[in-house]
Amino acid sequence: MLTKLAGGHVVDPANGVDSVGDIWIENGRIVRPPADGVVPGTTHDLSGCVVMAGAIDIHSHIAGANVNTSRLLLPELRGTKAEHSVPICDEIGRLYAKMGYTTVVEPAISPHVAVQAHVEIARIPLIDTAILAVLGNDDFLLGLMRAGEGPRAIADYAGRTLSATRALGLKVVNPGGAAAFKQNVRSFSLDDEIPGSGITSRQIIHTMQAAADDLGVPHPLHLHCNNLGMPGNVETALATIEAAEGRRLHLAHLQFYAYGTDGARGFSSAAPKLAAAVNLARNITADVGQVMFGQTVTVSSDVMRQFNSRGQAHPRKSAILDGDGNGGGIVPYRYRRGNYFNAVQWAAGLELFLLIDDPWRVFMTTDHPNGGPFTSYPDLIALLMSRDLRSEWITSLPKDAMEVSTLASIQREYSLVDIATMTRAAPARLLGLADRGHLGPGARADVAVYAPQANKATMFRDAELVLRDGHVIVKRGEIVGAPVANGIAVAAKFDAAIDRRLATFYHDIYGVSNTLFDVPDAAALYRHAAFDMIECRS
Amino acid sequence: MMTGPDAHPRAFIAGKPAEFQAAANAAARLLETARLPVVALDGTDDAGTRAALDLAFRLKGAVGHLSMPTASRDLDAMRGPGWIVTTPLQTRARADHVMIVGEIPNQLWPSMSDDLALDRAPTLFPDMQRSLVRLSGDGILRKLAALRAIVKERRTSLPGTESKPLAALAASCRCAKYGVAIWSAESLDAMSIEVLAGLIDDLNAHTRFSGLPVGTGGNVEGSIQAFAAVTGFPGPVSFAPGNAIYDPWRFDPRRMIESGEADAALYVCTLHDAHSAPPGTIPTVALVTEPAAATAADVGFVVGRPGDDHSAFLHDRRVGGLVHIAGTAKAGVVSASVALAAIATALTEMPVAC
Repeated sequence: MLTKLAGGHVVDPANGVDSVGDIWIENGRIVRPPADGVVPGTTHDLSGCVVMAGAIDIHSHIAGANVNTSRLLLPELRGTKAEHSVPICDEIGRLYAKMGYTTVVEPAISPHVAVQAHVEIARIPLIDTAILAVLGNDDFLLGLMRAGEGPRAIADYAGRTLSATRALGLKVVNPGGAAAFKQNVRSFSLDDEIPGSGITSRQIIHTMQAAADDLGVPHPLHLHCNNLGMPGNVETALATIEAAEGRRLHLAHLQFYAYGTDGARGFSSAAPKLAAAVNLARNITADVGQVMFGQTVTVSSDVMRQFNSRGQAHPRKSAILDGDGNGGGIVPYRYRRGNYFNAVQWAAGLELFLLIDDPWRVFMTTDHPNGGPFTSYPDLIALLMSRDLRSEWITSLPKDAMEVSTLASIQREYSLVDIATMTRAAPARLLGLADRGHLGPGARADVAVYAPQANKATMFRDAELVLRDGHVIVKRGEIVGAPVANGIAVAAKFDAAIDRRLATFYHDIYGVSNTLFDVPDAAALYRHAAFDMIECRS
Repeated sequence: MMTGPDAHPRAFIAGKPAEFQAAANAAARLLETARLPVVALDGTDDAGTRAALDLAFRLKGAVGHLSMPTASRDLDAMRGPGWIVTTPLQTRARADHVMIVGEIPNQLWPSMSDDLALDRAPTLFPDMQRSLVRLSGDGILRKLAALRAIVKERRTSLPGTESKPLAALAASCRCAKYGVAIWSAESLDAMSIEVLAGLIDDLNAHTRFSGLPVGTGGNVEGSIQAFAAVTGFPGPVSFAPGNAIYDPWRFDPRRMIESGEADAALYVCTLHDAHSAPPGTIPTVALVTEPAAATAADVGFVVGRPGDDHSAFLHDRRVGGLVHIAGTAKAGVVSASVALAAIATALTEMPVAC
């Protein structure tokens, strides 16, 4: 059936469109306007509305053992304002869809828990989903590196992992840090060695960057750097950018690395310095990981960092897992407006958004739930689009915190084109999803429509209309449909000879078969459609 | 799927073989006409757990795993003060000091010693030695509390005959490069587990030490994960108000049945021979693996064993997580999740609310 979305203000930066026009949909795809005289079966009058492609979140912790542990750790958050930091599977899909999101990526799944992650993520309705597989602290990889194995073996291992975990890309989290922590090391920087191995974080990053490039994975290596949250860690982020040596690299939740040591408290925003470095390094992309005030929970595979941060937990409890490879830590936390440090964090994130000048290389995240729940995105959009609103917030925050940030002086306001680029066009390009993030012919009919409002938070919180695959799923902020949600994975090629080496390793070291952790096909995962496979670039 | 009673009947009404659909209809009537139905899980796979949750939601009833009171001893330590734990594979690969606290019932993990290679060096560090110690016998809580005090260099009121061996144990724990304490909630009470979690936390001030909870049976670990993803709670829950509310005492299926609060039960037990009969004597629908147990219920279904008769997601104690087991589909054998879905489909549009 032919559907016409008529007369909306179409904002489609991937195709250079920012004007009033019509969108035509047939069989779940955007199509060219039909010949004259062809009458659409359905017409939605979108006069006055803003029309964008469905939004894409590239980094949000929505499934897996660590996320589930956060639910178990904090039953007291259910039924409170903080419930959105520990939403259940059904709610995740509904909350995202209402805001106009149609694709979300869970960015950190260790291979040995990928089965559980997929079982849970398949339960999330309304949105397409994917995972990133975490390597970089796993015993097999470190064994290969210690033995001086060449890039081919490592690429085969990474490719096999992507295939077995049905992941969309590769992630490393404080590479080497978790392995070192198991040997009682309590801090780990770029050039520190895992005891007894001669392997540094820098080497792991290079190794995994090479693997991602050798495999042709569209998404660049997705990196959670060392020293998250530490005063002065901007130097770590800058050194890491330099260490990328011009190779493409995505830096996760960059706000948590935007700290200097200025001011009486030795903690300041160094976001301008970091943004300048990102602007110069065209090989670098970054999602911000914005802090938004309120109670939340930190869920991270950076087990060393989470262990070290237990003293700041609110409420005062935590769950730490020395997992296979990375493991994880769940530490509840409350960001307070009146807290100097939290206010600096909030300002630093906004500075990154506003000072990184290329909206194709900066991405909106709160690293849900670490900086705050994803449901705060509309408030964040409002802040980015209005200097006046930012000024209002700044007046309510500790003065000394604002004095160690440049936020108050920044004039820039995001336009609708900037928002659409950052939340649709750019994520699709970054992830290699050529059929999403835009509204040109051939694109999937994932469309989000917003009724214009002066209050941008309200505007982006409850979409007027959302279509996924051409099906209406949200109407005036209410869920009205439930089409099949798909999983997305990358089709990585590798030499199956790696399986023999894995079999031997797992038998000798772990006493189980490595195939025990393989994720079965979509049908076994309660999915109604096969995985949407993204080809690697040759 | 079976369509009629035959030499190997799979469905029963009042002990007599019945067509599968007729039994599903009878089960639906029995449950939806109850004032307060409860779903009592005694071991099933992830799909069965999710189907049970969906059915309980439709019935506006309560649902929980019968082993939750035991499993909650671990949960309470985790979500109370918190804990530091590891995996079986890391224990096998790295632990140079293993302390088994209390008894680990053999039937829970008969191959534990071999799986964890406890009689060998850590497999990733073959040049290391692995020491294995046990803290057992009477008064485990008192011993753990004293151990914790000694680790923190505080005095205890224990006589020398008791404190000396504990002092030696504390010293060996502190000297560990990567120590792991193993326990089961089947043999430790909640307070003991909490003190042990605190001891592990204290040891991490000096060295690396972690815990390995072996848990309890009936795939309750898998059940907890499914419950948490779907409801936000580990179970048991009630769907009476429409959304899930959690109360481990109030909605404990065994308590509800034995007290008479529940007036109908759906009992699901597919992981072992149903020698654990449904609790109580209220009208019961049973999904079990043996005909004798099915005929004993008001409505009974003989369903497949997960991982054998059909593929399943189950918690695997060897790895401490969910795995997929590809079973061999057998003609005429349905899974618990299929049977539960059939009962749900047979419910009338407006089930009687409790």
